[in-house]
Amino acid sequence: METTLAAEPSSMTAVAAGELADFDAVVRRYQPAVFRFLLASLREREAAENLTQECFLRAYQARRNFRGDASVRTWLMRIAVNLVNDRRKSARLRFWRRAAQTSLDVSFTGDWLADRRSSPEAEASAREQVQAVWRAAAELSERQHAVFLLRFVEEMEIREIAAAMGLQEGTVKAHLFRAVDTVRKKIGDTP
Amino acid sequence: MSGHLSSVEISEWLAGIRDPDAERHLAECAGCAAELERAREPLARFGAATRAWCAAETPAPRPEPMASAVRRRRSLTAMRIALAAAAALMVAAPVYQHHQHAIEMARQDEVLLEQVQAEVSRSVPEPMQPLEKLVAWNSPSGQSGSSQ
Repeated sequence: METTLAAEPSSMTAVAAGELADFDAVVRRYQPAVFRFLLASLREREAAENLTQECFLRAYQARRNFRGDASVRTWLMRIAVNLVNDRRKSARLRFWRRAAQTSLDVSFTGDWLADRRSSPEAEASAREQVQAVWRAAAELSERQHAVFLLRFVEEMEIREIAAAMGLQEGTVKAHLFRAVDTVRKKIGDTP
Repeated sequence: MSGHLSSVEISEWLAGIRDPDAERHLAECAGCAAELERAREPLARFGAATRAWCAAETPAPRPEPMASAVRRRRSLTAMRIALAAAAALMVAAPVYQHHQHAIEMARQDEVLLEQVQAEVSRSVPEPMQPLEKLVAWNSPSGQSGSSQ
């Protein structure tokens, strides 16, 4: 799929223009978020690194076409979402996704953000809970998964997610509702 | 709103679908507010844990400025194109040579065929041609040929 900027409306804002003028600063500022989204989506570090680089290269080459309707972060996320979609179309990735899932789950359990003030039992319980959400989220449809990550990992607003994914806000809410409801049922959070 | 929030309504709330009645109820009902918080907690933990994990996995920022990266990428692309052209040439050259060789063979075949044709069309073998001329000179029908 071609990464298009067609949905970016007219009149580049001065803020965005100023921000994009120093593109190396843009990379430094947004690289962690872009990499995070790509890694959480693909669960493969090397692919996430390559696509992060690709994302910023595409953004750099298209920076003059960016018209500033959305924020730079949302614009970059849109490119990242498109890259993930492109990547997932490949059957080869589907294989690697399955293969990578197990190994990354193992590493994921090691360094998660634990509340050191809680008891070991509470910490273990919370860790299990996080793993359960991780597994449940991995089974969501691609679109639900992307919406879920943008909301709960990137903490983006619904309108930002809509802009990043090229969807209506109502559609984002519908996907997010299905994702949340599915995850809650799978982790046993609902009766 | 008739009663407490249902599980679906809690999922809707977490998905950003905000119903004014539900909002009012949440402001008044501590039980539902606690239930919502309990449902939000695993999602918030998941987000925080994923961010922490990704932060640990994030590669160090590249010291190379973006403009240099683009130039490097362009030169790599140019090199790839040059390599592809060289590979194409390596394949094309033998094909071209083979084609030229075939043309030359066909020309030689044609010359050979012409020689064979000339040989076959002779009425007598080459060593006997003087004798044939002599016979033609003596015969009445041969006079026309020699008198020209």
